[in-house]
Amino acid sequence: MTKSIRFRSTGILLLTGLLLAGRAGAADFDPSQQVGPNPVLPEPEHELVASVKVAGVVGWKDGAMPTVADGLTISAYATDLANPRTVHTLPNGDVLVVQSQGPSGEPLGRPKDLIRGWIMSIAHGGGGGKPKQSNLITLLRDTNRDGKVDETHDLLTDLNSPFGVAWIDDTLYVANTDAIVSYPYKLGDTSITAQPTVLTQLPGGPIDHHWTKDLALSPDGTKLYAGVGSNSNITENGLAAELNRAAIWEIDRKTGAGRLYATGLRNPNGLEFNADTGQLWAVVNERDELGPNLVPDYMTSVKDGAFYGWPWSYYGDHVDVRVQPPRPDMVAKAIAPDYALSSHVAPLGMTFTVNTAMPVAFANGAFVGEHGSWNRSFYAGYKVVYVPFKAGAPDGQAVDVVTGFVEGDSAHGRPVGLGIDGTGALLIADDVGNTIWRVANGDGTVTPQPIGTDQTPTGQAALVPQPAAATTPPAGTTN
Amino acid sequence: MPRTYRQSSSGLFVLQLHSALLQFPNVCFILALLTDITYWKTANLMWQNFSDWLLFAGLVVGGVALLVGIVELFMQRGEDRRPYWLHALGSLIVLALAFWNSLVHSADGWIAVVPSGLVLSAITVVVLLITDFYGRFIRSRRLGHQ
Repeated sequence: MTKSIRFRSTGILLLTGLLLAGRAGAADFDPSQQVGPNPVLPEPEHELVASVKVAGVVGWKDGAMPTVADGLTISAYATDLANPRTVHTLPNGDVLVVQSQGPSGEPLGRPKDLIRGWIMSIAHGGGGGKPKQSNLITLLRDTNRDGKVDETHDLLTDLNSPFGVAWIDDTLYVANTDAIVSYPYKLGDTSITAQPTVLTQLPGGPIDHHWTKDLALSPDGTKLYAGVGSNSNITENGLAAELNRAAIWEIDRKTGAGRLYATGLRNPNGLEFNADTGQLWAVVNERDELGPNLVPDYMTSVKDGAFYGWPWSYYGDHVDVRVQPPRPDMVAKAIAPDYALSSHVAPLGMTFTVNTAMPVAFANGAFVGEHGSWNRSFYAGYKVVYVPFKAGAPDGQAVDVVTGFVEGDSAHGRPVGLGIDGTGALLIADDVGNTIWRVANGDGTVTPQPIGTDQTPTGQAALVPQPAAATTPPAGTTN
Repeated sequence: MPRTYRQSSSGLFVLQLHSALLQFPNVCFILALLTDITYWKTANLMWQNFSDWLLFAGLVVGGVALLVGIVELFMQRGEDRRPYWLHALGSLIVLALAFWNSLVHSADGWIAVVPSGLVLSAITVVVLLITDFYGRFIRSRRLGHQ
């Protein structure tokens, strides 16, 4: 008997030693090493209990607001919304706010799902009060272009977890979580009564792990691009569940025919075309549970037919051993993205700043909305950063532009989708603060005329920002 | 001089409850080893999920069994309790190993099982078999006393 006891004790000590060895290191890692084109990628850590830091939601009270960088001012553009996720400006300057909640009913797979659900409910929890019915699109109209909303209309309600929208040829496209649908809609209308027409189905439930389907319109107006996120962190729901996911779809606007434009993108959002190069860009959420400093989320130009690694590898040939059987042929095909944003910052929105009314320091680059996540021992993300560009490519270090979403261990809000309003100011959808924030040039500069989110202007010289005094009312907003 | 032992009916109930509950985690942890081996051989995620739930169920019922067993220990009078504490310690080690193993199994993909999850499942089964046989041995010895 004594012998067996001793054997047990030795085994325990041995295993404990292995466990401790596995958890050492990475505590003093500098996250800024993972911002830029060549991020430092440490060895994967397989933590027994992942580091988690969850910010409880308190909302914005007593006029509290995020803080902005020098040269900018911030104001609440719209409040009391129901989980605003994205903003989209129509060519007449009207702003569509897509408000949505993720689909419920992801089937229980493992004991861990119970715990994950509980953590997510804290991070997304309401900041007091009964939540308003979500899954709707609200139109905000600033008739005199003074940066304040004068009219609010609920355009569409009872949608199926919508996220992306696009508008062209008197047609409004809405990317619900399971399909792209279209509605006849003329600029200036304040209601939509027509029934939706399905343009194409998208991968939806019953799992629908990454459910946000972002949309972008090609500069020539013929194609729609839809981001379709993966159905798991790292294929734990099986590879069959990932069919046509972790990809950006290209859909012909006339026929609805689609193809996979680019693949291996775990959760692509913030789709937008760059005016300088005409290339499609996206921000992508990378995989979790390889330690607090892996894998950096990124922004990248999306190349036609390219494969970006998920699930088999990341940043080119960094193999993820969690996916079995291995696919060296796919790893060999994987290309690295353009610009890393650091690990677990959860970018969900992006917008370019060319042709906006931003000050010179922010006038040629991209704003990125970092939703923030709990997969780290400190709060990563929860802010909007600016990445300077040169000739259509990132050039230089990202800088914080809008911060203060987290204070202590409480979250006032979390930035999601970004857009430029009809006056050239930045709009930030804050899905737990239930607010749209407007960040404007501190000197009051506005653009001479509204530019729609889908419009990728070519004649840039005609759109030089001018002082606020010289503004003229936009066409199509009289009523 | 032969030792006298009086078994109350409530004591008998607890003894039987413990003995009945104890089968549950043992079966779960043995099956978890088998499903781990199958996952290792097939890479079919269904088997990993089986292991995950088997560990979870075994831990819940095993925890109750351990509590009932300790209550039983305090209800027994007039005999040397040391062998029973040894058995309880063995059960505690089995549960600790299984809890550790369930954390390992909560990872996503291959590393949830291969290699550390599989090794832990095997060690858990070895320790539970030793503990279980020892428990049967001391129980039969005690029944022999009566």
